[in-house]
Amino acid sequence: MKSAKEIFDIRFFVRLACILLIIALAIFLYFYGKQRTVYIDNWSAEINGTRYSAEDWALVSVDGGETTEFAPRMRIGVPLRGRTHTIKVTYDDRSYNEIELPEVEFTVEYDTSLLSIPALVAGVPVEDCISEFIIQPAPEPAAEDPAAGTDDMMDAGFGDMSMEI
Amino acid sequence: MEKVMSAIKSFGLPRLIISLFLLVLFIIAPFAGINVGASITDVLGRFGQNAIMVLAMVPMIHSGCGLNFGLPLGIISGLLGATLAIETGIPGPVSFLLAILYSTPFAIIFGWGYGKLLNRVKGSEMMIATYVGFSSVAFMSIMWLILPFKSPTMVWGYTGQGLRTTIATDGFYHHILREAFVLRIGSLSISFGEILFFAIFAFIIWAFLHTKTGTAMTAVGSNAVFARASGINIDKQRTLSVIMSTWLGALGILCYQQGYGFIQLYQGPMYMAMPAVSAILIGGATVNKASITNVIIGTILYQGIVSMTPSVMNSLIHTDMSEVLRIIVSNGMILYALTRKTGASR
Amino acid sequence: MKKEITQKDVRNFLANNIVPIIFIVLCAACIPIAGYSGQYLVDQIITRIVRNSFLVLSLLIPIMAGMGLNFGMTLGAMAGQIGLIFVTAWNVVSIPGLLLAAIIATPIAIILGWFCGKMLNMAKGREMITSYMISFFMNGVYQLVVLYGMGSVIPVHSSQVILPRGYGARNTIDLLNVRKSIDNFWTFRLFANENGTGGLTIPVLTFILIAILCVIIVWFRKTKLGQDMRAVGQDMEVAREAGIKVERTRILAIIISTVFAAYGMIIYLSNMGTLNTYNSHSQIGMFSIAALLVGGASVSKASIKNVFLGIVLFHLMFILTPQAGRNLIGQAQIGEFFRVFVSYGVITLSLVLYEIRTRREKAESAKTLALSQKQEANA
Repeated sequence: MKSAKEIFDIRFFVRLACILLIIALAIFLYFYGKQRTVYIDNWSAEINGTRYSAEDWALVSVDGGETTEFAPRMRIGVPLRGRTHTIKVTYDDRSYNEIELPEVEFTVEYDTSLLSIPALVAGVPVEDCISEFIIQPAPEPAAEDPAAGTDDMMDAGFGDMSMEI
Repeated sequence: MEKVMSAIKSFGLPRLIISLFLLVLFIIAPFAGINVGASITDVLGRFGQNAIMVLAMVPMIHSGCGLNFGLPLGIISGLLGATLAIETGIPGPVSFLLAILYSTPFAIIFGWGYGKLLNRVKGSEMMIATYVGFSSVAFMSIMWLILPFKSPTMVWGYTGQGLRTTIATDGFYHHILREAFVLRIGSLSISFGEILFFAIFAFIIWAFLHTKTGTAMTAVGSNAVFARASGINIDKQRTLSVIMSTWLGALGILCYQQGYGFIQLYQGPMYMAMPAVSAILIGGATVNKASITNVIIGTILYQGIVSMTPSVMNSLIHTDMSEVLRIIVSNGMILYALTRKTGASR
Repeated sequence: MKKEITQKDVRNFLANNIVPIIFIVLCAACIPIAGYSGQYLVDQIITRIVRNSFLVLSLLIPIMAGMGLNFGMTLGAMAGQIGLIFVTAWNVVSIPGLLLAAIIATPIAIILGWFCGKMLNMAKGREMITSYMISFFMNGVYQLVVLYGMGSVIPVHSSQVILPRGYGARNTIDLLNVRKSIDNFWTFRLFANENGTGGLTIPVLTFILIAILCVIIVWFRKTKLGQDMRAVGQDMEVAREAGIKVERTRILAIIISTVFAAYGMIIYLSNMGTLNTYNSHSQIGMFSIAALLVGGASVSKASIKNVFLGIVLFHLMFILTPQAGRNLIGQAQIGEFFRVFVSYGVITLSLVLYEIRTRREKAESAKTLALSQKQEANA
């Protein structure tokens, strides 16, 4: 029987620290590497009871990347890695003056979310501009069931000879 | 208490668990709306189909060659016999006899070569047997494509070349044993044809094992040094046992086909050894000890579980996990037998 | 006299390298028949080396410990697949995704490896068939977990991974999130034309990873544990008397192999880009073992050289035979069956040759022992 001192020696703590470090790394990787899609949206939207109509024209760049030109009723999905991102919007007002909004930082929580440009331009705080966007799943083709249709004596449920490597 | 423990030990714990499981399945079945008579018919039918392939394990275990994972080789002899019989084109019961007749020389030749090979690799027969089985299945896959078969029931319609993956035995020996001497009581029907067919071969093997050659074979398996000292030709006995196993494998697949209704070529025989190996182990055999009783009990238990679990599970929880459970149980059983200390090292 | 020795040497060389020689002849015969361009073949071979070498390397350590070909590497592949399924469900992309998959796969691989090692210790002398059956058995458990557990017990809810019925992983899963992310991290073009296209693309990072594993294996042989493993591989009883914990060493060998196999599977699948949830792992075990044996390895001896030679030869055969079959007989199917036959056949042949050789050596050493005893008795 080992005494407590023998079990909790330096080796134990080093190992514990290593395991904790790896778990921390895993958590970090999860947040750093998770990709979410934000749909930048230039449709008319109603947020908190106020209605914002679509912008006639806008330039949007996410995370300082490529700038995209938006016409009304345009919606573009941008895949984003990590949680915190920035968005920069340029739009024009009634008298065609280009106005550049200062860069805004935002966080995404949902796998797919919707960011409304009209609301952002109207000065709504960015958190309120973002909402979860649920895409209706396309109707699935006939259900696939990998285990179905095997005769019991014929295979041990273990591959067949067709192979691709 | 001790008595109970020793009784359990002699019966084998896994076998006990599996028997109890099967018993529970049969008790639940009526409540799940399953016709018990039909279930028993099904189990007995499967027993008749598969028992001879399980019996094919016995000679090799007796001679100390271990579990015959190379059963596909025997199955291939059977397939050759079956295809040749259909090619001959005589319908009805004669085709079954022809199939047996045709497959015999193949089984003897293949078994002889396979036995010679196993004699050169004493100690790791099982691993090599597995791969001999696989290689022969893959080799025959090529052969099924290029052998000059002509019968329109077997050849692909549109190319006229190469055999189909499955060939129906209708008109030839479909249910030739299954529908002989059937006893019907309500929904229960017992086919004495299959059972009788199995009983004949089981008796032959049993009788053979009690002849002088048979006891010599057992001696080789249980104590090779003693056998050599008493002047037994070990290699000869082993080869004989392998030939017997291979031939029984050929018969087994023919018997299986007549019940199942189809001949399966190409990769069909690939993993057919596993259920047979697992069945005899569930019946209480070990890597170097097996009897006819093990075959009978094992096949009934294995096929009982295989046929009862899906229906009971489906009607109870509406998910068919039985396929996965079968893989776990049957392979787990083989694993259990391999990791037992009692087995000789091979 | 001298000529005789060389003749004997040649015969020995042929006998010891019969499998690679058969393959070289086979490939040499198939190349003109298949009629592929040299560049295509080299490009394919590079892809195959990138994909498979990590997996094949994972087989080396159990061979060193005398446990034969580790058919249980399938277990590691399963662990790697589970890691990738999670990462895909969470949509963690690119290299962080692969790292996370590796971190998830490691504990699973360790547990599975430990189980496998324990089992193999109970079946000394028939490790190979036992590890083979373990891979079958675990395949059932894997199916239970992935086909019925995921989505119902294990919280995975991505429609990309889970079947429409709400639980169970799909038959094939697209690994778009991690596809080729190691390979494309840092690429290098050889023999490119002026436009910077064509030629051969070398995925540098993957090759670095493979090189690191090779170095680790070479270094590992020299460590205390590595030496112990070799001693156990030589003779278990002698090793036990020398104070080596035989059982523990053997379990460690299997665990290391399983973990490497998990990483290898992650690299392999990220290169492939799609996961065949219920098939990939079972196929990979056979191919890796066949490739290693084609490279001239045996059940008790294998080196890094065997790994790479084996992958090149085996996969060359794999690429060539369907096309050769089509050109020769007019049916690609025959070529496909032929390569399956060759894969199984090569494993059979190597195992048989190894057994025969070992028995002959044993008989010879027994003969010399008897002879020396006789001489002693006479003296």
